[in-house]
Amino acid sequence: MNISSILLHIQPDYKKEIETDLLLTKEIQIEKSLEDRLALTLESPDLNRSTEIWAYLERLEGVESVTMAYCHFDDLVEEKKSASFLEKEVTRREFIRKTAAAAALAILFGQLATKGHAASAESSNGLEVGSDSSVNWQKGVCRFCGVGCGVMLGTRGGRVVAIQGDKKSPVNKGLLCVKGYYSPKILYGDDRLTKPLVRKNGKMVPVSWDEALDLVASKFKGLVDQHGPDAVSMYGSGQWTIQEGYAALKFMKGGIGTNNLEANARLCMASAVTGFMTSFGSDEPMGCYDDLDIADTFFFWGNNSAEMHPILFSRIVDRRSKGDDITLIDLATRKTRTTHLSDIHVSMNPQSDLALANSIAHIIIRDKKWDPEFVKKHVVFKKGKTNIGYVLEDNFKFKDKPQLIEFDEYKEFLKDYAPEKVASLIGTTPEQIEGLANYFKDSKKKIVSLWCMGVNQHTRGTWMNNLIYNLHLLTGQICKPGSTALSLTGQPSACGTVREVGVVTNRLPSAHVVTNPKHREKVAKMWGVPVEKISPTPTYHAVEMFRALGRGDVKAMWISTTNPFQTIPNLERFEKGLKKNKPFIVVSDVYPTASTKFADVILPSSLWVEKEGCFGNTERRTQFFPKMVDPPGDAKSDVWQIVEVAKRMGYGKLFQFNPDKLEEEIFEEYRTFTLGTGKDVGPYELYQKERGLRWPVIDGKETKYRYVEGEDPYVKPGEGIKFYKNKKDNGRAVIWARPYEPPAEVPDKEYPFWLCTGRVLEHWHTGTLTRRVPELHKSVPEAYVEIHPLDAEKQGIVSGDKVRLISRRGHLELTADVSYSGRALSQRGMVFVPFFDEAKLINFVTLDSMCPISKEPDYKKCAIKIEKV
Amino acid sequence: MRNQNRKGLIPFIVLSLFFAQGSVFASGKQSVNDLQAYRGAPPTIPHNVRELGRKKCLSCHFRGLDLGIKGGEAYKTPHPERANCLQCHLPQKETELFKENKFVPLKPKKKTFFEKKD
Repeated sequence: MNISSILLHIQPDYKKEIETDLLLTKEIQIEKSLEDRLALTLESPDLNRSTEIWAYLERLEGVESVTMAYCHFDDLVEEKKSASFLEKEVTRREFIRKTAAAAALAILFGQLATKGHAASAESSNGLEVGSDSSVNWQKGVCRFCGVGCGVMLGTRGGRVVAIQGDKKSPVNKGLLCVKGYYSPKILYGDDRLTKPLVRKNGKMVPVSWDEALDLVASKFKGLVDQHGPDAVSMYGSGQWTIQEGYAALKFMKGGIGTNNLEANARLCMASAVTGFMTSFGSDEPMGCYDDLDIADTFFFWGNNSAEMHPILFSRIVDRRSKGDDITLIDLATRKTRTTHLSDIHVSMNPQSDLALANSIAHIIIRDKKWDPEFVKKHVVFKKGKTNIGYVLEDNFKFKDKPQLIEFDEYKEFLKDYAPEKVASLIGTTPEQIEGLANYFKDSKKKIVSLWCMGVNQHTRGTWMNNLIYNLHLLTGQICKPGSTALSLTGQPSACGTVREVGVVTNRLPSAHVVTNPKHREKVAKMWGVPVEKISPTPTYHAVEMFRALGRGDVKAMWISTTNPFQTIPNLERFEKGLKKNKPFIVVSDVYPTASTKFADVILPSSLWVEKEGCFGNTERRTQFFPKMVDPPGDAKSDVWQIVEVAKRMGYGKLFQFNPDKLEEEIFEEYRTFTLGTGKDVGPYELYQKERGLRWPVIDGKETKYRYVEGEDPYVKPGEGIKFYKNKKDNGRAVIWARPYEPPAEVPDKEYPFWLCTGRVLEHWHTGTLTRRVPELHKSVPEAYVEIHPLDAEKQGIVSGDKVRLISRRGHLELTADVSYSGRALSQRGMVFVPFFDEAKLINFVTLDSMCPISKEPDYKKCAIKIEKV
Repeated sequence: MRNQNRKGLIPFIVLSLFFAQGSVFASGKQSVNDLQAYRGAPPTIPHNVRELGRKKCLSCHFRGLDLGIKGGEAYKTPHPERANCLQCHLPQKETELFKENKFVPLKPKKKTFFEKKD
């Protein structure tokens, strides 16, 4: 039982020093030396000695990580291939425990060795389902990000008392991140809203549900009668369950008859949607998480997964600890925890990702390394409008004009992106771009691209999504196990609710849109309403809806499960109008937020497992969770609230569901719209049993890979791969010629810094839930500004100093974080601020520029100056 | 050979302890359960984390450590293969709570990981 080989990941600067150090250790033979990693062989029959050497290597300065392959494992290789991830995990874990445990300590630390014993994985959890009979364990879904981890919740006496990762969940296989582990505490914050509140003489007064609901219904009805249905609006969330989203959609479009319905997913996923729609004719990914276990190369496009999608990131990076040879490539404007655990980091300037992707495409074509067969069969080339603006104007309108082009025109277009021409724009070297392209040029590689807000919250977000798909389509790195482009999502049901149900202005349930007369007819018939009820014209996208609220065009808004008065960019722009026009604002939420401050009516909602529902995650997986505990006080579920208001407004006919089976019957009704669309969901009872299923679910079977024969039932035999949803291009995907265009605001002499906003691992969006968890709050108690040490030094700023960030729109005082203190480091000329802190609203500083196609704001780029206070 | 390695390691351990200040394991008998929010929760980190990375964490927590001095203990991780330590384990700053929390946990089974030598 010995180590047969070691793979050492080292920082390039340290290569020489480490090689010198290694020469001291005679047992090690340096086999070959590859760019920034070294493969070594260690043949030592002495296990203690092997462990000692590992420890030694771990501690060499400049060593990023050490991977070992044990001879012991050789006979397990075949088994490993077939065994599930979980089993491998256990084998590995047991092995480490058995071997490395006591041995090395005695040698290395001698008399210092601890008397106490380490906990094994299981006993450190001290927790097995059913180990304590007073606790009732039920499966649920994590309330936080779009990864959709399975959880097991322990309840006792009507309260949630513990949580653990669901080992049977194929998503997370038992692991959670801090937000998940502390999520039981989100239910029990001291200031939960438990009674409906109505503003009377400027004060919020507790009232009965009847009074609150009557007021909401009569105000909405009055405004609709007086000004027409477009006077009222609803703003929902990707944290709505599928049922809540569907109820809201039916209420607004089938009841009131307005398209003034948007959700906060517009702020995070809209570019991903328009990216999918323009490239493939249908929203949501073709691949799934299984690809992450197969791929060997991972491109992170402006994506700090280590903090934002930690479970997926660990699923990837833990493979390395198990001996898999994988390469993580981090393309980013900041050095983050993702960078730290990646093999390659390429720093790029904000917005230059457009040029970088095009440059890689140029190299692929220049070196004739694209996949001609795939391209010939499955791809068409197009170009669209350029100089498309930034949606800064009120009532901005844009319609793209797609035009088919020949391959040669695309090739010609890419010539402007030759690496030597764009390297300085990107802030890198031509060699680095060539190096990145090498991965795509190698047809043996299995590449997965991952991205989230860096690409989506982008004034050219749709384009950037297109450009990533371009690379995968050119090289055929798509629709194959281990090769895919996986657009990550940020909310538990941004996909399931907002994107699939269709909680946005232009949509009807599932794959139906208001602009299509046939769809309107079909939906009206199924809802039993006259077709004229469904308005054919989309109205406002999210940010425009708030501008309209400020202008007085929209006179009432019902906000649910989200906190727009903290998250809409350039808050001042619409908030000043509110004071003048005094619109009627209803907020359904679980805690007081920046938005409840503006509310005329506050409705207390059930949270997470205080109600039943379904979430849909990034990989098309629809998951069910039952009601496990009662909500506090008089709090009620959002579905119930919507149905009650609808009844009071005279739309009771639309919601004739059995109150005991409300969620089930709503889901089943939604399901009828999905059948035959390619986004078919299964019957409700199936989800109650399974650990989620990936749509299309046909005959009770899920689909791992869309568009692939044998996997996706919609692909006919003999078709191989078929992008069947893109009917207008005969089932082909589109490679787009999309140029680089600068962002709306660029740093200048007066405002010399980029401002990038985002999240931290510990906090979820506006902190409404996570700040009420003591452990999470104590880890990151307040927002700060991350400044590069050299920039800070120039202005005499040190960590802990108060600084003022000033943009053309507003200013904000924050504490400076200049150190690289375990989290991240912005590039020079850029600062980073998290947006979770309601006492420090960074959105008074940000710019409300957007992608003209998706209308998703760019929270990542605007110009500011910094003053030391 | 062996000595050479050890020479390099001892200052490293001392250095690591310097980074891992203010351990709660100061009162003779201490349980990791005190750092858990409920049974099975990942323990919080009772010391500053000034350095980034698993390598630094593992330098003490791979094998566990008990130097017999204040702050000289580290418990052994049951999962050294996990690369992203701070994904589950949180350092805690001394700060006022944002709001009180009324969560009542399923209490960890009492279990002492470190018993100081007499």
